[in-house]
Amino acid sequence: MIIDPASDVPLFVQIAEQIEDDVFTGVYIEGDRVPSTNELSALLGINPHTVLKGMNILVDEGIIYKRRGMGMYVQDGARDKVRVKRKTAFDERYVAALVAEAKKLGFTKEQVVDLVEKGYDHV
Amino acid sequence: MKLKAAFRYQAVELVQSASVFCLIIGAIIVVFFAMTITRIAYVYVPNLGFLPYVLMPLLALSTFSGDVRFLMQMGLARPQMIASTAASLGAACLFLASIEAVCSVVFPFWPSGQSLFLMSYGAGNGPVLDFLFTFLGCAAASSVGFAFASLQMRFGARRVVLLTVAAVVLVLVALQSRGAALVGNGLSWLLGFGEGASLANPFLLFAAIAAIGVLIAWAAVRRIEVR
Amino acid sequence: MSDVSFSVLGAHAGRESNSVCAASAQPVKTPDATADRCLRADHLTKRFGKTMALDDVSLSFEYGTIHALLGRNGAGKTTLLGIAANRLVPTEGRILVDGEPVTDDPCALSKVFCTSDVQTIPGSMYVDDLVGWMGRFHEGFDAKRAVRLAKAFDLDLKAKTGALSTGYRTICQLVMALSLDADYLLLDEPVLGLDAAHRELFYRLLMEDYLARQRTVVIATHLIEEVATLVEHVAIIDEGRVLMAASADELRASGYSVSGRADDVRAYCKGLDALSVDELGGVAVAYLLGKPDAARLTDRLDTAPISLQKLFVKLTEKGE
Repeated sequence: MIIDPASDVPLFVQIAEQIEDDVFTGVYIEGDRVPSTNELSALLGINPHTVLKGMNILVDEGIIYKRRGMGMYVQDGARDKVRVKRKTAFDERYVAALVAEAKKLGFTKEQVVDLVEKGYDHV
Repeated sequence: MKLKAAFRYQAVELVQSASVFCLIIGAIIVVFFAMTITRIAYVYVPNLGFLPYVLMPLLALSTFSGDVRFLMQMGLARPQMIASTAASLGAACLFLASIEAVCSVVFPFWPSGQSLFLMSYGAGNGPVLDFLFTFLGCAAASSVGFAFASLQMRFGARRVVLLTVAAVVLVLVALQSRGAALVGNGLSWLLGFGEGASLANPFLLFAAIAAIGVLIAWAAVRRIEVR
Repeated sequence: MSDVSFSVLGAHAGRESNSVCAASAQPVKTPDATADRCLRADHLTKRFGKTMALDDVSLSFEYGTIHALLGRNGAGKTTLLGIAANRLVPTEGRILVDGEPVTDDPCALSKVFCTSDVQTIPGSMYVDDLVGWMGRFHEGFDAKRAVRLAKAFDLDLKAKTGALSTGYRTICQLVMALSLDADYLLLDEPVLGLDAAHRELFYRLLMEDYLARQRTVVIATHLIEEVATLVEHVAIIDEGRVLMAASADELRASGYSVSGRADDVRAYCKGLDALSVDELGGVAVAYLLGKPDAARLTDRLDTAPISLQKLFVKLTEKGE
């Protein structure tokens, strides 16, 4: 887990995103225990309240849940939830940026679609 | 808890220094005695009985600033520091007074050769009064040192020393012009000599000086700062 | 002067506190019922002769949080902590610990411990003797822990404190501080003179201590980047006045930089209050408070977040 203090993304959001990413890529699967607030705090040198703030975002979104006295665990169906979330964000995050840049470079819509098709087959 | 620890810290240091002092005095006396007995030289053992009254203010002056800094770091409030300093100085004075009283009983040459009190007021006054005189006298001297040290730390050493020197000079000048004899008589009376003076005078004088000294120190320490 | 003010003088519900003052023989004072558990400066002013070191400073350090007190040399951090530690006496105003004024109050003082480079331990005292005295003066001082920490830092217990190097004198103080049980730890430039390895060790120990005890730590420093992720709340002090007091996240989001060709940058800044504009050879970088103004941004301008260190430097460069 790599946190960048210089980024304009707040620390607690970075933490939430990284755990979310790990859930998505299968580093943590449903039922797995994720590192506790204290463990992350000690490991990263980040204030535990900040870490907790990030974890709470994920708790609110139903991606992880707290088991009293035991720690934080990945919720059932978390991976799907993350997928849905990312699908919704895909448009804003990637498509908008792609189109904006393409327009800057003077590509037509057809050229962009063509590029995407080629890219889909290659990658 | 802190007061006890502070007293322990200061008193142990002071009593240790006083013990070393006593040992040195003892050694000097022994050396002079040895010289006389072995007839190396016929020298009288010098009178050292005034030295405790010099030692105490010096001890007070030399330990005060360091002690205040340390006690401050340990979390004591200023009134507590004043109490602890006064009490530990008192302990050292008690110690010296005890040694004095014991010596005056144990050593036959002491009352007529070493004891400031017994030599000045008569050997018949006995060890108890000797103890009390020494204790109060040392207390008064320490108190002056305590007051001086606290004023120095509060207002700066240079300022205080200059003011004291100026005051002493003024007093001396005044004495010269006015009537040194008058002042001399007054001082004698306070110390218990001369017309109408009682033996109690010096004891009361010392007690008063001790009290005034502590009061001055109290006033100065209230706003002392450690920088 | 842009007066964006982020003062967060928090009013959180008080956490459970053990306010029994074992150290004092005085009757236990009932703290002001509405006072939160915090260390608070209340209209604090301090003058040294003609110099104004602190000018009507009101600042609150909430209990159970790690705070940074940012300020340049001579800004007033040491003075503020000095008053909180009872070394200095306020000219006006006061500092309150859990609602009680701290000056010469043994009960309040037993909750506070301050480390700084002001010489307070006699140079002739040995480190292990100091451990002994700490135990006699402070209830809840863990001597065994102190010895363990000293070993971890390679601090020679048999050395005289006066013979230690500057760095090791600081380490000695930090070891004592971390072995204490005080509710409020005030650390004045705790890593000055420490090499990189010791600094990391210190931060790690501080974090461990915080995770275990949740007590209040105030770190006064001018090196914010090192403690940026560690602290939750930042107060910036400059020339005796509080410039900003906010959570670390808020502070990080409170400014930005705009860079590009000097003309473009100047055009962007027109009418806005920039903290400063650095120019060199036709290229300029401007530092501003607030959020980037999307309307003014062009393709030729780059915006970037501003680091806490940069924000601090630019804010205090501009100070009155």
